[in-house]
Amino acid sequence: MRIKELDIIGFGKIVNQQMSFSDEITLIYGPNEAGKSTIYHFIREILFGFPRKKSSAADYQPKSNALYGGSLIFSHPQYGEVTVTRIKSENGGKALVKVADGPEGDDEFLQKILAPLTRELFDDVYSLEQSQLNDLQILGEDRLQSLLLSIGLTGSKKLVTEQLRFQKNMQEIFKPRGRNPLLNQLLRQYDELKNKIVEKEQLEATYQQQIIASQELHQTIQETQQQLDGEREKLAKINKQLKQLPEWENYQKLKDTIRVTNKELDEQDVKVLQEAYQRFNLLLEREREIHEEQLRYYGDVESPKFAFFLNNELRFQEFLSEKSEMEELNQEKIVIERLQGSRKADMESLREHLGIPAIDKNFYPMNAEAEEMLALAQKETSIINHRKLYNDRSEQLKHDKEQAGKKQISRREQRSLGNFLPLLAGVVFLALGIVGLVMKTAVVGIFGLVSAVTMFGYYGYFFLERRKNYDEGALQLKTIDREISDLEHKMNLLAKDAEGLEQKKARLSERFQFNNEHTIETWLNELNLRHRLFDLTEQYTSGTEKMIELQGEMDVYRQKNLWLSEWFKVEEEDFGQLLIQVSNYIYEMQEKKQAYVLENSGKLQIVETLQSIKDKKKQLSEEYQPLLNHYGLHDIQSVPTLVGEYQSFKKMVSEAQLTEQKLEDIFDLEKVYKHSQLTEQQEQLASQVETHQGEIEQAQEKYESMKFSIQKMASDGLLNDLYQKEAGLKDEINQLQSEWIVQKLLNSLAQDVQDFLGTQQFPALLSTCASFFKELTVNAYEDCFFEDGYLLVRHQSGQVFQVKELSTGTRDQLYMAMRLSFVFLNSEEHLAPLMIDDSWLHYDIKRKHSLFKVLKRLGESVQIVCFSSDTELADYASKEAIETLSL
Amino acid sequence: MKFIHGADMHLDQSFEGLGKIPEELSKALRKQNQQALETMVTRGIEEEIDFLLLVGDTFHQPQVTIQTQSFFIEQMERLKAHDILVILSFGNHDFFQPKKYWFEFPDNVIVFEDEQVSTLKINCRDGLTTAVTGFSYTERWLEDSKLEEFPYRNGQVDYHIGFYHGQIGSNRYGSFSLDAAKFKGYDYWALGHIHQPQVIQYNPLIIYPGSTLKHTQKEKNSGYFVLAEFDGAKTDITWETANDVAWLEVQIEVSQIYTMQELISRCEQTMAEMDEEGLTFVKLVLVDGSEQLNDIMQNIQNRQELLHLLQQDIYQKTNKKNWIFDIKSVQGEEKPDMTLHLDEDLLKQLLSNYEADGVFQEAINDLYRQSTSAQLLSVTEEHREELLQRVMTEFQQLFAAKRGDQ
Repeated sequence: MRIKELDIIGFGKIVNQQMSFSDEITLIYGPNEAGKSTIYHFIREILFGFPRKKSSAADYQPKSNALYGGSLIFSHPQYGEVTVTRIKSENGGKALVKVADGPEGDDEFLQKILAPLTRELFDDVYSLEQSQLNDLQILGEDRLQSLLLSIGLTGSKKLVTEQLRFQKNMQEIFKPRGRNPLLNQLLRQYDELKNKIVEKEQLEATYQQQIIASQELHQTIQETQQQLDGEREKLAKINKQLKQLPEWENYQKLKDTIRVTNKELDEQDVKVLQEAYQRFNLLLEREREIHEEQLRYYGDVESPKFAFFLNNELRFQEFLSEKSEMEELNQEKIVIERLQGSRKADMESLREHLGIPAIDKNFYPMNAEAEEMLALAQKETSIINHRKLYNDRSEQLKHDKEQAGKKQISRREQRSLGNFLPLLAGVVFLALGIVGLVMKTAVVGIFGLVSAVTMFGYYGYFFLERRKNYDEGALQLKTIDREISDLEHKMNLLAKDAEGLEQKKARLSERFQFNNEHTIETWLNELNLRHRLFDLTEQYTSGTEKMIELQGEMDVYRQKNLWLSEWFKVEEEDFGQLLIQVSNYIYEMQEKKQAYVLENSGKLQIVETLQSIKDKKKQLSEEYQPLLNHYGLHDIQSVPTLVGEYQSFKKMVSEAQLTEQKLEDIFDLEKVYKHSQLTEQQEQLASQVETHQGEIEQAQEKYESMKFSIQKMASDGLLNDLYQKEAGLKDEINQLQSEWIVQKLLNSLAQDVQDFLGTQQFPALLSTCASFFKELTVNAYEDCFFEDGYLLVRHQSGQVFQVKELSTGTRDQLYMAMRLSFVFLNSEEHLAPLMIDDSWLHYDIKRKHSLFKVLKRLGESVQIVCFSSDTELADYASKEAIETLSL
Repeated sequence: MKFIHGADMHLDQSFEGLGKIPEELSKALRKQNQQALETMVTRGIEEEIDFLLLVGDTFHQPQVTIQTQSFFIEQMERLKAHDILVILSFGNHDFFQPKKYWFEFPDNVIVFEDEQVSTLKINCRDGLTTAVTGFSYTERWLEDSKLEEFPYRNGQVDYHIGFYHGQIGSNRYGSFSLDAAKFKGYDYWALGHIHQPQVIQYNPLIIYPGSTLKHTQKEKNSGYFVLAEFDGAKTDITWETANDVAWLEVQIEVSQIYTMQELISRCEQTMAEMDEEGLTFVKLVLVDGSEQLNDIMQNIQNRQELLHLLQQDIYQKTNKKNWIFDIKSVQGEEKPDMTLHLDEDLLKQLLSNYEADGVFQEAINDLYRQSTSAQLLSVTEEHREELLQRVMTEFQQLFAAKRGDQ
């Protein structure tokens, strides 16, 4: 593709301008800010579209009101002349493409025409600008090498930059020794997860063991339970045995008795004897009937009194047999009655003597109270003594005080009366003396004077003496007063004691009915009498009880003999009297009966009958005597005893059978049981039961917890979750591994491509590059070549340099040579013009010329558009007749 | 005679290829595993079948978790309550080792425990009898075909079923042979092992029911079991759905999308419009991404972040029904020219060097230098080809110059 013409309607500062281009090289010349890069961007945007608003590219929206955009005409080997028009405000900024004599189209069509040229390719390969050189400054030798080669081989640095990206991606994903790359992190997580899984799996592996253990435990529990049940049953049996043991013992005794008795009692004998007894009894009955009938008959005839006797003869006999007991009873009663009478009199007199109001209440203090009374009595005596002492003393003191008071009063009177007599006499004598002297009666004077002196002396002496006595009297009074007050204090204390004593005394008196006015001493003296009274009351009470008892016994007899009421006042009569009356009656009637029997027994018939009965009785007795003797019986009358024995024996046997039925479930009747043995067994079993029960409970608890843990394990989905997690993590890891592999392979492939291109295109590239480089450096560098994988250059001096060792300018030239070489080598395709801006500004004039020579030569095969503000270049261009567009 | 034929349940297999999933989803997946068996059992009870055939690989892990075993037993008990027999064999995954099974199978479960071929007779509800001949794996491999040991059709029963976990052809999985099977004169061959459901032959019926659950993307067409009814000469085969988990590839046209935010809302929108019944695992394919988008997607970390973000986002926004397991971008079908002066053949040639084992291993050697990575790395031939294809495509895309329609 070669650009023919531009028609800029409005783009940046350029408005409505047309320009046409040479097929070979075109120089666009203008000073800075003239709009060179505007033109470059115009071409770019018309061909590839306006930038999106969001993009950071410079905005070439014209400042004036002109439309934004324009058109571009280029020639294409296949499509011929193509016009592309693109105006921002029209058609949404889309391209309008016209092919000469051909179809019209839009951006898609344009892309088709331009293909494989893209904006990217246009930028990377066909645009040569200053900024690209900046990269060269900062790269190390290796990177510089690969960059240069990549540029030389592919026309752009893309292969290298992509390779770097692949490597970066690889690093981000994984480093064999890394920690932070994504895959490394996941691998670590996986390890951790795996540990968890292993742990959990091991835990689950114990499941089977747990199940077996739990089954075994269950088995043990059941076995123990059976054992326990057995023991419990045994224990229950023993408990029953213990409970029934007395019955068992009775049974044993019973059995022994039966065994013994059984030997002695023959059932047949008993039957025989019983029959004999019955027969004997019949005889007796018969005999008695004859007697009775006979007697009753006559008794009735004689008198009712006698008949009553005859009819009740047996009862009277019984009465007689009890008579002595009844008399004794009566006698005793009489004695006790008498005793009670005297006791009562004694009690009454004692009570009166002691002044006890209620005899039925407490009046006799026992030990504790008696002791207290003793103590109190002492205290009381002491209080009374002290009180008396204090009172006497008090009287004495009162008396003393009175006496002393009187004395003192008299002393005071004496002092007031008698005192002045000697003094008066003294004055008289003094006056007499003075008169004497005045009268010149010396004797009288001297006598008067001497007497006066004597009087005054006397007065003085007595005055002093009296005064002394008075003071002593006052002191004495004071002493007495103090003693009185001491005494009063003591008496107060004593009164308090007495008060306490009185309270206690009052309590005792109330309790035991003492006379509160008497001293306790007196009470104590009363104690013997009170004891006596106490004894008496006791005796009286027991006497009364005895009386009641006797009365009761008598009443029993009275009741028993109520049948006598027909003839005697059984209930009303005095017991003794009754006894006498009845006894007399009996004796009287017995005599009467004797007489009567004697009188009437002569009658033959009765005698014969009676005799024959007697004979039969005797005969019967004799007949059975041996058998009776065998059983230790005296007469046939005792047979009921034997029968009774026999019957009770039979009863015993049936009882034994019943007991046996009852006991045979509980006891092994063949064995012997002892309470101590059973108790021992019971204790032993109870402790066994307890032990086993405890064991079972413990085991049961353990079993439950095992069962729970087993169930928990069975419902625990954790391991499944962990597996799911593992699967997920593994997926992620595998994905990242794949991703890493892809990046790695991409990297390797990029390298392979470079290597391949290198081997294929390298010789051509190197020779082209070398010639361009030589030309650009004005023969300063003769060659560039490849040795041991390194790009090296040779200076004309023969010296060889690595790329990095070159000066910045020379390096730029090498870069330029590489770029130009690629474009040159691929010029046949005519993909796009080479757009080159003044990246050579710092070249010297020679080098600029050589660059332009190269460009001009290159222009023969590739269209070149050159942007420059370099005047020298403009001059050169005009000289060389290069098409120039001046801005 | 009515029975259900299922195989390759892989009850305790995890769903693979889903990446890091939330706890909740993990639970839901476990439920899916259980649901498949539950459905099978429920249908069996509803249909009053005579027996259930489970032809191997009922379990997936070498060590079956207690929970899974416990669940399995539970389901068998359900069948027992309805007098339905279960005939169970073990395959190459769950090859039988008594120690592995901690529970006692209920007595309605008849197990082929041995590699030795044996035959059992069953009385059906309709009064007819059937013989079932089968065997189990006791090791990971079964080098020889067991068909020779299978007896000829039993003349004393009404039906005869062959029970065989194996792969057709000569292989280490019991080498099943159609011809040999035909000679036995059986009425039905219940096969297991191959996860793709397929009727191999109609006369006699030879069927792979396929895996009951779609544990991996490859199994996206499975998820069935066979309900078979034999009534005299009439035979009825129904394919019953065991589970409605789905694996889908969803294409999203993104040529007009330039930012991440736009992309996310576009994906949300597309996913919201889906109306799959059950749990769905989705691979998002972004078609014709713009340059900006491709730039974003080229960075591995970005892509990873985007995937994680979309996974959570879509999962929550679609009521926890959809899980994005992968996302990738592809260009339209046209093949671009290389900006490099290379033709495709040359590139292919360069890349084909890596098909050689040694070269490939050498290239990825670093991955083997980390022990866990080495342990988890498994590149099958198929996978390697896939990777190389990806490299090719990506390389071409990177150095592509778009060409218009000719």
